Amino acid sequence: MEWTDSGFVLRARPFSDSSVILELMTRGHGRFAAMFKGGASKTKAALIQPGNAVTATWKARLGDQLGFFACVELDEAHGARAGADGPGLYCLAALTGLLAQGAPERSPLPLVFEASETVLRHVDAADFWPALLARWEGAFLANLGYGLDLSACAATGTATDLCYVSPRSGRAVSRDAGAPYHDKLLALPAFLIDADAVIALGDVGAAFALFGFFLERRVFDPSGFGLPPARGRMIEHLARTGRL
Amino acid sequence: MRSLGPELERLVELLAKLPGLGPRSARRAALYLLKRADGLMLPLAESLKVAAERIAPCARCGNLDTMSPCSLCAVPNRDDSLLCVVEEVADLWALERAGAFRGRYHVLGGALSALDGVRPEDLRLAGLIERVKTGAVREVILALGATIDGQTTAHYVTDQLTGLGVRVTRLAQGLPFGAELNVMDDGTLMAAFAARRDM
Repeated sequence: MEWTDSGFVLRARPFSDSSVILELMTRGHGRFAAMFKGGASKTKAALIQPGNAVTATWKARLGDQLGFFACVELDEAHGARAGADGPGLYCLAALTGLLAQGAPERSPLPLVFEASETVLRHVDAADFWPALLARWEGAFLANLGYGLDLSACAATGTATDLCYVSPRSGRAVSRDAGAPYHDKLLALPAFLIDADAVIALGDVGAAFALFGFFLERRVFDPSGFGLPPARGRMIEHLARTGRL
Repeated sequence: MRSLGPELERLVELLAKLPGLGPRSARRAALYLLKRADGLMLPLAESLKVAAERIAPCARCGNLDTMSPCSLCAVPNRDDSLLCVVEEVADLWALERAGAFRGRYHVLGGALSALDGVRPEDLRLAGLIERVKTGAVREVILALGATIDGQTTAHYVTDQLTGLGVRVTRLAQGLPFGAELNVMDDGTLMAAFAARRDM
């Protein structure tokens, strides 16, 4: 068995003095871990930093074996770009943490991969990535099969003035229908349903609260993990710097 | 391994747990030690015993020493206004070898790692904040690894120290001394360009 695919580094765990288990998020093979011989060497350290876009060749005798990455080449050093811009590191850690713990292994998620690439390309744009990452969380949920239905009000069927989401059904609720249950519903910021909407102060925080609720309930709690702590630190940082 | 006696087998098994040693090199090391029992093996055993019993992390900075505060914290002729934060004791030793720093140290005990589950509570961050609040520190120098985890930790520490009235700096990143440009990785070149300065 052999394939070559593009991907980005999620993590590298020590395996022996010279090798690591390298975990990539690949375009066509999903989250994929395999041995990378020589990966523990100092010369490979910069290559296998989380977030770096790479092209990797995987080989094994059988498809269900761990196998090894015979060749890993750097395409773009997103990790270093994030490192040059401090806040971008929070974004990178949250993104890789969510994927490493939440994405199923060896199951392709091409749309999530493409959305992740978009986030990584903007990881050094501090004003841009928080909203982008919030949207990415929505796409991640949807591609895992837990998408929210934000197209129409669950109570009245109207597609206008949607500003809540029901925590039970994950469906949108209009302002009028949701008003009596205001305290029990989750806020739905306008930029999640209208790409042209202006992102107001508090919208990004509301989006993270909305998707965080469903990610925790539907993805991370059932798998025995909580939400990755890196996501909490990212939100804490955004709150402290007034960018939520 | 059954051909060895139980004592020798145990010795080889323990040596093989050391970094860089596998079973084969552990057997070689065991034979080497046995041939030099008086000159090397017994002094080594004694030294290991003393180290295990007496060496502990310094309550103030986290350095390893036989006393607490450690010899670096206790020595009076270092600059109390400069505090250098490192990930591990090995990093502190490297800086001391270079002789480039004459202030105080603080060993965090690792770096935040989203994927390995290292959280702020796992690091000696509370001790650092306490030292900054109560001590005479004017500048905190973050000498953390140029890895994603190291830099994430640096920014987290910076966030925690914001508002405490202390200058926070980090070590420069870029080309290592003696390096050729054509063998440098993209990340190092990017960092070097970002940190360029006037001649």
